[in-house]
Amino acid sequence: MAADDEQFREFVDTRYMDLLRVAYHLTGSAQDAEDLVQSALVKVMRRWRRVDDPMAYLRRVMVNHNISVWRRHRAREVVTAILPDRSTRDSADAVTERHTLYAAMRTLSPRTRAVIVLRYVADLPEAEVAATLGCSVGSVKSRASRGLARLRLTLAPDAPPSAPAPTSAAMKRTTEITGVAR
Amino acid sequence: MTVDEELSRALADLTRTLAPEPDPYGRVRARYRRNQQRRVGGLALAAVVSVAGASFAIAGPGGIAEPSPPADSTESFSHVLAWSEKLLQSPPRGAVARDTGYIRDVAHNLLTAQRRGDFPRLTVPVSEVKVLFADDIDGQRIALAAFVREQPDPGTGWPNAAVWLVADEGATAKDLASTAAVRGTSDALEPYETIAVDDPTRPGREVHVAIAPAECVFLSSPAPETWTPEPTGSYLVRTPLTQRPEWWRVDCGSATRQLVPGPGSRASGPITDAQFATATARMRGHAEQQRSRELMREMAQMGGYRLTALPSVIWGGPVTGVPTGVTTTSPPPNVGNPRVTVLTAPAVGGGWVGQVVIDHGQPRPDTLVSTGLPFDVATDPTDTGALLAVPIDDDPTGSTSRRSLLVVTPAAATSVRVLRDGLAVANAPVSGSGAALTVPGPTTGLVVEALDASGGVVATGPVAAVGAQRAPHETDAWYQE
Repeated sequence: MAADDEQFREFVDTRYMDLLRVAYHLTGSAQDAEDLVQSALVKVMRRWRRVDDPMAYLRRVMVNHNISVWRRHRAREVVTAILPDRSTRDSADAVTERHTLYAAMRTLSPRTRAVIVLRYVADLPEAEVAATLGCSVGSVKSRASRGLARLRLTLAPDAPPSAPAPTSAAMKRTTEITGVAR
Repeated sequence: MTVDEELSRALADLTRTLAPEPDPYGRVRARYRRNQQRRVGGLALAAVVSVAGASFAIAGPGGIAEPSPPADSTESFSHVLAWSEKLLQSPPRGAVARDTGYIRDVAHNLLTAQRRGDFPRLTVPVSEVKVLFADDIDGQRIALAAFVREQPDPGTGWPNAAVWLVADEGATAKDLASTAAVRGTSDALEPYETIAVDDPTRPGREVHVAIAPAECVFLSSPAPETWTPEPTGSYLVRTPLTQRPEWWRVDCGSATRQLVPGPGSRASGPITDAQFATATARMRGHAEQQRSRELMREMAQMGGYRLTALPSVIWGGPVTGVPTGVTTTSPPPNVGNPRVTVLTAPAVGGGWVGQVVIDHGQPRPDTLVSTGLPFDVATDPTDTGALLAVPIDDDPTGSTSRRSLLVVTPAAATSVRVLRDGLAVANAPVSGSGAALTVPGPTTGLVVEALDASGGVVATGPVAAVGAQRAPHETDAWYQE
């Protein structure tokens, strides 16, 4: 058991930030992200010896727990938007870009947001996203497509669907048009 | 750089300086110990949370997942385990389930696959597989199978696991039992199981199945009042064509064990112009149109069919500062110079639920950019002759000595006054039918008055209750005797 504890501690020490990043994008709040990661780790701790792939398991727990919270209408946890502190001051454009993206992510449904987070933050292949969410690869593709389309619309409404990524300037222009970042 | 690459970069940048709280491992250990203590105490709350979080990792909003199962089956979970056993012992339901040979083959193939190690999340020794549901629904064959462990899971105490399977309509027993068909594996076979799967013929739409022990019956109702038994009895199926605004109920004997809103919400798409016009017909102040539409949709989707109508916008406007109440001894917390939008919707069972959404003009020092505060009121807050007073600080306990209030008033009001025991404790001028002020806490017992230019009272009311919105009509009673 001591060996298990040591393994678990090592896992927490090395992977906590990765989990926190995913949780932050799922919840939109650093505080809620901490709570989500801690809650998930308690679950995996109970069955540590039986979990083959702790990261996959934890991602699944966090995604599903976050969706269940959303479904249970814990409104207080939904619209609170906290961006992590910065040790250095960003340029105005960068701040605007961050807030625009943040706001755009908040417009996605929790499950679509989970697909985006797993694909583009955790960098998982579609099959693994599907396994995490317990759905088909086709469903992952369609949700990713819908989510990306919505983010593109917010980040660069003038860009055609297959256009290159918007530049910072494009993002700034978008912000001025939509007024999302207040 | 492609859009995908740019998005990855931008998302990574968003958390570039995210930092964990100190001692993550120590906090996990402490939380684990607290949970264990609560379990030993057998608190009902733990059981309720466990059920509420139980089901499957599945497609669509019908699926919530990852049970928080009992750590020890000798604790106060005997009731839910007994109901789980009743579901396990129930005969298979669904039209396809009448083909006993097919069902036997599916069960056999699943057991063989599990023993071969095909289910990485289900590797413990299993003595038996039972198919509890199988039917062809909207072009797909959907099934629920229970895996009977030889010993209860040592980590969780649950005796049975469960797997939802989805394959093409008419799939062979081999195809339905293949790993490609697995849509969700749960540590626990709960008494009430649901799945939502994407409808391949209607993008964005879903098929829902819910099932309970055979002795139970499903009922449905557009509002949780007049209930109609489901023709399928102890299970329920909804396709995109049959889905509607409704609630679901499961009765077992004389007891209601489950009462939940059906999937979906009153805002399936963007808010239309007509809907927005209705929602703002009695709006006071000046809410931003685009933001209000977003918030309407968000609130409608979060509330689902707990709300009996689309949200309305009560008030919108900037809050330029929090005036100091007459008894203030210290400045209130800085709330910046935010724009505030107040929304409400009638709730199932009566009363109104609402949200005060504060969009800060600039990120605060703590980088907070937006805050949402839910509230409940008994009377219609969209009444333009009514007064609504709601806390706008984030203190769910209401215990702090100073509270910040937003008061929405009738148009005739020019000032507001707050009384406790008949004595004025705060006042503030009204601008755009809104006022913000600080009052001595707690807010219980305060009476808020809206005054016209002559000092006459044009409206009065208490401070609204705040906190996580209640769901008094929802029931989850599998953990009860």
